[in-house]
Amino acid sequence: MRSNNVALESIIGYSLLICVMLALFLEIVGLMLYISAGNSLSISLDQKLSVQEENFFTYTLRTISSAIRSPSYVNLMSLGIAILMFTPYLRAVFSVAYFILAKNYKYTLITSFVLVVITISLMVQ
Amino acid sequence: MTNILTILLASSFAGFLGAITGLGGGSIMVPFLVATGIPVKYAIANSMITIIATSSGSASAYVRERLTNIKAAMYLEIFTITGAIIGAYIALLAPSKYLYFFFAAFLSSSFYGIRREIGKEIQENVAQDGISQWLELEGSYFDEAIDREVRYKMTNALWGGLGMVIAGLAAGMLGIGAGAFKVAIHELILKMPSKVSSSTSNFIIGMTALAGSSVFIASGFINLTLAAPMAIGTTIGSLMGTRVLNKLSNKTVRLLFTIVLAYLIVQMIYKGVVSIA
Repeated sequence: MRSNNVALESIIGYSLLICVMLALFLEIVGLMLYISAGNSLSISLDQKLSVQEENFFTYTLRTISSAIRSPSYVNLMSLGIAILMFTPYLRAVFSVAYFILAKNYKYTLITSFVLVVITISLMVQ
Repeated sequence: MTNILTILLASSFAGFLGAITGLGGGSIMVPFLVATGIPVKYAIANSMITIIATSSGSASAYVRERLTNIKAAMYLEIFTITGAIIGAYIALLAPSKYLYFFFAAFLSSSFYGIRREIGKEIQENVAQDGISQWLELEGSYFDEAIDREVRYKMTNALWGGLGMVIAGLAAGMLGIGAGAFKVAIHELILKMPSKVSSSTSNFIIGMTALAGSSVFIASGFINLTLAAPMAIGTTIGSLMGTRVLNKLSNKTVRLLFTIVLAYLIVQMIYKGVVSIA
């Protein structure tokens, strides 16, 4: 059981680290491009710089496709935020997958409940 | 209105403190942003990014160091999410102004409880109840401050779960991460060691914050010139915090937590008084 826990901790820990670093990289690059484009360092509440989508999943999918088509500072910063926001979801997904593989049905049920509730709440429009 | 560099610095501090105390940083960033001229709706929506960044930044290290107890986090998340959903519905029906006093009273009793525990370094030999045993609520980690492996067991799983419903209610009703509530319940009811409590709270708050994120995404109040520096600052701050937590004694962690708790109690009472006046 102890080695199982260590494996789960390694999988979740390194997955989180990769996603957090990727998000950090995209946000730094996006912010540098924003400043180098001649924008001031002041916070701008311009609607063009706002995130607005129906829900989390449509936001993530549209952001990925926009960033691939046009890696502008808006799309890169937006993608960084989407990846960062995806990390807690990833934790729940990996935990469910892990407990299924480890045949720990008690925690498969517990983590599945958490994942289902989070998924439903993220689909709400 | 404030600028990107100021936001970077403030959110680094919030992330650093959040990673050590188990708080998301929203209670620091929201009043700060409002004080610097950011409209309150933008401040609240973007502080959700701070909570997730603190949570994921710190969890990426704490999980690998085995400070986070994933099983406890997942079990307690059931109650927190349920409480948050019920809380969000109650908030639609009842005015929140009197709730500030209820939650201030709850935090005050936690403050008193944690203060009594400050002198204890590690709570070993905790007698585990049947439910906690069945839920496998135990673990171990290497404590760098005392230079040895610490084995611990949790107890009162049912009461801890019910306590987490209150933490969830606070999160759902007041739109906060409620990390302070969670840490207090972990330590006072479940008898988690302080460092495990902070890191497990960090793991949970990100998932609770994410569950409510669709509302903010649809609102259009998440602004990239605010969210990006907040995410960068908080992530860097929380990663720095993770380098410090395990080197601190549990007494220091508790002391830091009680200082933050005192600040939150004053903040809750102030909000309550302002909302009534």
